[in-house]
Amino acid sequence: MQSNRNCYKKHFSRIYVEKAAFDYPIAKEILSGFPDAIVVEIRHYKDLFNRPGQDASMQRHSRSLILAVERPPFLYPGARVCQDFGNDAFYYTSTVKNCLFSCDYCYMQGMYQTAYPVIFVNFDDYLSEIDRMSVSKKLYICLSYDTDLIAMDGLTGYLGRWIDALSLRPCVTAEVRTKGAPQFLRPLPNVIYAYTSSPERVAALYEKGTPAVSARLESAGRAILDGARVRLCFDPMIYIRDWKKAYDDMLTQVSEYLSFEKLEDVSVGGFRMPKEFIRHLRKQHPDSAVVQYPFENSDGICHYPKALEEEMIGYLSDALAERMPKEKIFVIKQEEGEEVWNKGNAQS
Amino acid sequence: MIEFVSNDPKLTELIKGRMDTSGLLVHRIVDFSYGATGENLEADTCYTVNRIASDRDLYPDLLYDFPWKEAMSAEETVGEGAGTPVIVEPGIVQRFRSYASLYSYDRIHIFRHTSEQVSKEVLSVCESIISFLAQVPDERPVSSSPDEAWIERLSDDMMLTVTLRNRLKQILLYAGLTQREEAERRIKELYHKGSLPCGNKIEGRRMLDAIEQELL
Repeated sequence: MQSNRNCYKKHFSRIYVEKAAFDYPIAKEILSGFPDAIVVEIRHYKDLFNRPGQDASMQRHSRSLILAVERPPFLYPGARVCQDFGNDAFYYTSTVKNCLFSCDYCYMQGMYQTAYPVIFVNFDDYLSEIDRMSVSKKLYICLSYDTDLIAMDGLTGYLGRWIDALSLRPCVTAEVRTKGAPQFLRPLPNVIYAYTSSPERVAALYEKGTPAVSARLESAGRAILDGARVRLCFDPMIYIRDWKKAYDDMLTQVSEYLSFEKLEDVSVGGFRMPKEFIRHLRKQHPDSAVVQYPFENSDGICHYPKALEEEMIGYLSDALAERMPKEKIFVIKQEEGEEVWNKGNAQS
Repeated sequence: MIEFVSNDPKLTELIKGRMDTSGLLVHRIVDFSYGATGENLEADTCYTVNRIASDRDLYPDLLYDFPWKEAMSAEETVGEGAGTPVIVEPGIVQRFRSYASLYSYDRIHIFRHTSEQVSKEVLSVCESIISFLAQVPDERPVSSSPDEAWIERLSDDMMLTVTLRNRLKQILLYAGLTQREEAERRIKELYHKGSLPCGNKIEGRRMLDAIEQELL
């Protein structure tokens, strides 16, 4: 019998809404954008989000949306495997969970059971928490931690909300990380827009649904010209055959769109992921070489063999050091089971 | 395969007799019943269940563009909001949980028809359900891992421990994805040169390191 690829419901033709979420203006606004959607009231988003035995790869054919009210805490300390760029009060926040891109190696696919995004509609509660904590600390917050905020902005409108909020909170610094290629980003002195860049071949093979690297870099270059603080993240570095040439070509490509000297900074990181996440990713992507690499395991974190990781990070860091000041190059790697991040650690 | 179950054994046999669903590769469960009652239900209408009320509510994943209406299901009257169709069915929670232990949520399909008997309409709906699901493409990720028997033989020839066998398997899987024919050719060369089989475990361990270097 012939198969029919048109059998799937359109994305977001079903929206699950927590009972408490209905009253929030943001929820009403989002729902008004999907007048034909089937709205199903739910008690708690985790009843859906955390169901064991979901098939996220199938759900990606017809995503549903979940609207929920987050409970405290609204800020979490940044994970040890992530770059803090020298900031002591490093936190992250999740106004959205999950992403519309589908990168084979994304930790979210390893961490979450589902492909359905959750939008937390009690946005003001996050701001209240930030205001409370920023009395005693100079906060550095990653806003795009469990999502790609810019990729999700068409659904949420949260990028604009965050930028407006941050414009009134100059003592809070925030990073918005993305694999997207937005047309315009509003420059603010306390906001860093971080673009993740990979060699084109890595992006084509493993970063499904994302804009081409050239488009991301063009967007980054435009943001710099507009006065925005822009970071490039070469994190994680992905091993492929001829990786040196691939990363050389990537840096050449970067130069075509922006000046390295105008960057806020860059981060370089080796591949690292909890073992449980890798197991989940391998099940979802049995034919994807990037997650089937025979990683080494140090204290439950999978990574490339130490020698390879050092070679890759060293190679890219050195190449970057030829183009920009070393103190703007932040490196994270595994070292004897501990994540070590160094500023300006390029070997020369 | 589509496993079709219903509240009427005769209906089940009839559908199974009319439609051969055994050859289909994706395993699904279709649980169809007629005579459904509840709240806000229309007569002679088929509903697909989108939510099952429980201490922790249960949700099938409705990924497909079914033409049938949706309803929630509950074991007793729940007094849901005006107009919300609710099918009252004792035992539905346990039933769903048993399906969820065997199938992912996108492969559990629960349909309830409000007709009180097996009519032509009911039969037609059952056939439509099966026909619809039979057309759904099989999009499960497919593993192209190397032949297990071959890996087992190679592991034996290298006298590897269980841990190192798993490592070899992962190396060969990765190499197969990035350079399949070359990986197989190089292993064959090792046999041809007399480097395989190995004489002892230490040799085997060294051979594993060499294969890893070679293929990665």
